[in-house]
Amino acid sequence: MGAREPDAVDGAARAGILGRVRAALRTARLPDEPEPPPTESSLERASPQEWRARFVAELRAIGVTVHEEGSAGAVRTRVGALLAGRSVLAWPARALPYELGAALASHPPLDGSAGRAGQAACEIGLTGVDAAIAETGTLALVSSRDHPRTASLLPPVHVAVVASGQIVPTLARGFERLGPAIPRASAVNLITGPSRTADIELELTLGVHGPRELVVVVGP
Amino acid sequence: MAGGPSASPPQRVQLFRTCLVNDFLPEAGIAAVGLLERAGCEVEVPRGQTCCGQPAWNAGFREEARAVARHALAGLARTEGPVVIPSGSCADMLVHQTAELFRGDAEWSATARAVAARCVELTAFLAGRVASPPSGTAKPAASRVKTAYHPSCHLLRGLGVREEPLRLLAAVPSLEQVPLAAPEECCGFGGAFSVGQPDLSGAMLERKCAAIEASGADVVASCDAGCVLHLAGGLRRRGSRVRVVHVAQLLDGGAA
Amino acid sequence: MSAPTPFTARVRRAVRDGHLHEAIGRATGQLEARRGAAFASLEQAELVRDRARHARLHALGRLDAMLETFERRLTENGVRVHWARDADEACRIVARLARERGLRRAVKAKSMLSEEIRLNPALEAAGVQVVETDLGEYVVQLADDRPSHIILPILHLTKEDVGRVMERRLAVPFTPRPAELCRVARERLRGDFLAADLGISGANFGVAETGTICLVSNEGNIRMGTTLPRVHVALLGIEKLVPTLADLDAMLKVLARSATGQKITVYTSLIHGPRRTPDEIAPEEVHVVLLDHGRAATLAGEEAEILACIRCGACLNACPVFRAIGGHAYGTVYPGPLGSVLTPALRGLPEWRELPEASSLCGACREVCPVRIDLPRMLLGLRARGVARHGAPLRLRLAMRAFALLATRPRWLRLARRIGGALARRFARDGWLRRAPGLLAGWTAHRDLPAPARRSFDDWWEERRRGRA
Repeated sequence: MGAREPDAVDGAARAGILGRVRAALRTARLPDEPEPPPTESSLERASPQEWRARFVAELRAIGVTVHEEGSAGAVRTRVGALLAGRSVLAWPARALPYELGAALASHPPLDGSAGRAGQAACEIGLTGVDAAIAETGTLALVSSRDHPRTASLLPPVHVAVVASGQIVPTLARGFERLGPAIPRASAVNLITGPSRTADIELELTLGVHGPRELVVVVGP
Repeated sequence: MAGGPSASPPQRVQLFRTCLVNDFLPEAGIAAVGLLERAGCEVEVPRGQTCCGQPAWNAGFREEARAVARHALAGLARTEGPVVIPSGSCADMLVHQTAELFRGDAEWSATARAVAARCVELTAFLAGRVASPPSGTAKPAASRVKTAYHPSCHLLRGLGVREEPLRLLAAVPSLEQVPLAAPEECCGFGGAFSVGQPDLSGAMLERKCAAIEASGADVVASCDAGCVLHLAGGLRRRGSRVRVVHVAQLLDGGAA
Repeated sequence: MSAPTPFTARVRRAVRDGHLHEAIGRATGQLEARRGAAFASLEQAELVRDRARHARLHALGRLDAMLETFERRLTENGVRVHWARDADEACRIVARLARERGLRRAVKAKSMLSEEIRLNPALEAAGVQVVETDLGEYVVQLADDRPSHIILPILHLTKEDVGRVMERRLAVPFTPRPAELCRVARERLRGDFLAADLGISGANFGVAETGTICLVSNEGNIRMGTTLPRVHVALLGIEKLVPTLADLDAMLKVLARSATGQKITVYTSLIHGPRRTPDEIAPEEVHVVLLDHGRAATLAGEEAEILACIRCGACLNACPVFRAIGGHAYGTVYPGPLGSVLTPALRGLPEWRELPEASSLCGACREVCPVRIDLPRMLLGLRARGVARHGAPLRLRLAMRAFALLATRPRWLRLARRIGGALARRFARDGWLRRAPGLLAGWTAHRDLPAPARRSFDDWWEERRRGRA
């Protein structure tokens, strides 16, 4: 084994496995069942206002603090208040909605270009989202240079700013909306609430490795 | 039970009495006959019945299971009309398992399918024929017998018979239904499992007996003789005074 | 009387462990209740299950084409794809990767597959330090223990147990409070995450059409381990594919609900490849190891359907046998009904035939399985194959032969009944026996055995018939 090139071994393994799978399918006992009809979601037939209301309700049900703001200015004010006096790890200004970058100019946050240790020491992470799923209160964040994953992961508090227009009713619609951006990105992270575990006697604890607190600001 | 003589000729049904009922719990079979006749049926008991073959099938002895099932199917195939079975597991065997048992054997698969289409468990059969219980005739609570119902697994999950036994029992004025904790959990009989895996069977039996004793029931009823014997033996070993009967016995007015 | 097998001995020990019972009973009871509530609130729940089942079976039915499409997409996305026929090959691939890239510190997300192939010892032998990061697996690693449930690895430990493990291994003051214990784990593991150069994970699903590696978690350890280290290696059993993202949506709808009762896990990561620009915070390299290790062989036979399993653990929580003995007693990576079919299928029936026998066939597993896998059918099939190909104890074979003989000859059976019944009644007290011999001894170990009725139903029917004639 050691004498052969890794790729040759790998090639043999590939051929071997695919060959065995093909042969297996000739005798496999797999139930032959007709395709069921597609599912339908009543939420998809509702209005954007109902999507937003559902989104907010789902977030609150899983322990997320939600602030609904009626204007871009109010969003900036709210975010400013949430971040006041804390060290912040954020998406770069150009990636944040509601001109939040400008609002933070006086206290520039760290972003993905900072060192790991520095990022890990920040108290709050600030991000936008790429889509928001009403049905489950889920935030979809597409990873990129401008959307650093660490901002929604390392700090103990994560503040996410969502524009109403980004809210879709279901995950299926979310996948459709993001479309080809999905496989193009290194990763898409779906975030639903703060980090948690119930591994110890099924007792719920928040904030294991990810943020223990999630705050969502929903703008117009 | 409601239902006097009907105007139409009685429906002929075949009773597949099952080996456990025949050998250990004939009272259940006798009660079943009474119930069926009062529901307007003419009961026939095909001759030469032995067993459906499930013990061998469950243990993995396919050839032996086939031999016994062929005997059962041949006996039933010679008859006509619904085949009523006072056992969830035997009914499930004849309705569902024989298809798997005779897979690859076209002739016996066809026979099995034809018989399967006629087989129905006793309470499922009766539930369609009993008039709705008269209201306001329940006896005072103190004089009613506290009864707990144990749904046997093949009846519940194999055949999907969930409400019928409860509905029939609720119509018996001398009974008061009491709930069991975790009612749908297997009692641990499982046929040969009870002998082949005694530690597991015993552990599951203990849980079920504890639930029965905690329920305050005087009587526990099940649609499967196997569960009945297993629970009766277990409760007796624990020195319990709770009696265990087949649902047919309770419906027939016995054991109350 | 032959000595009990290791499995029987473990079962015997486990059923007597009251402490274990309480822990398992409480946890599985809660999980099963949450599962039920979560499905009750799912719109078109049965149709969603049907679609999830279809997605898995459809992928399995075309697995060769699915794998090729998946590989193509992964490669287009910048992922390096490796193929491993067995555990050795898989471990060698990962160890070689680590060596070639000078990787020495690995953080690992929970992966049943990695336990199947015993990856950790292989990596340690190659000079790589491996730290488990799933909280339950972390505690298992510290305690030198084994997981007892596929979703809740430390189901069998109390808070005090966990506190003692951490006190002993991490030199922290003892505390039984989960919040405190989690804080300790967070602080310790953060250092490991930031310093790691290799992240290892399994995968919950692979999506063929997009080359997506889908990973779900609640803690955030998977995100950490697939973001911070330089290299990410994902291990994927070849059976874990679904055709499209729409299918993935159906799977995600049922997975968390079945496993923990949540609508969706806190984190669902859809990973497609390494960093897209040098300044993106993401691994420089992403590798996928596609592993066979018995799956193609399983696909070829009667147990192909078990490959549709999505590892939710619902069958474990519903199973009265699992509830009675817990995960360790099975002696396998996969316990419960899942393991009782998957283990003999993947690893061979002769060694593992006791597992399918340890079931009363109650069907609770099939009822709760989100993709409706017919586990009882396969348990029966494994029993039949076990008997046909690997024999059975002589006593049992003779008993079954006698059963078949008598049950096809009604007159002989009647005679045997009369003799056996008379014998039993002779030794019975009030119609019950406290001790029975031979194969029936197992019955009387735990319950009284009724003697056959003096007058059978057939006797009664015959008398009635004659009386009416």
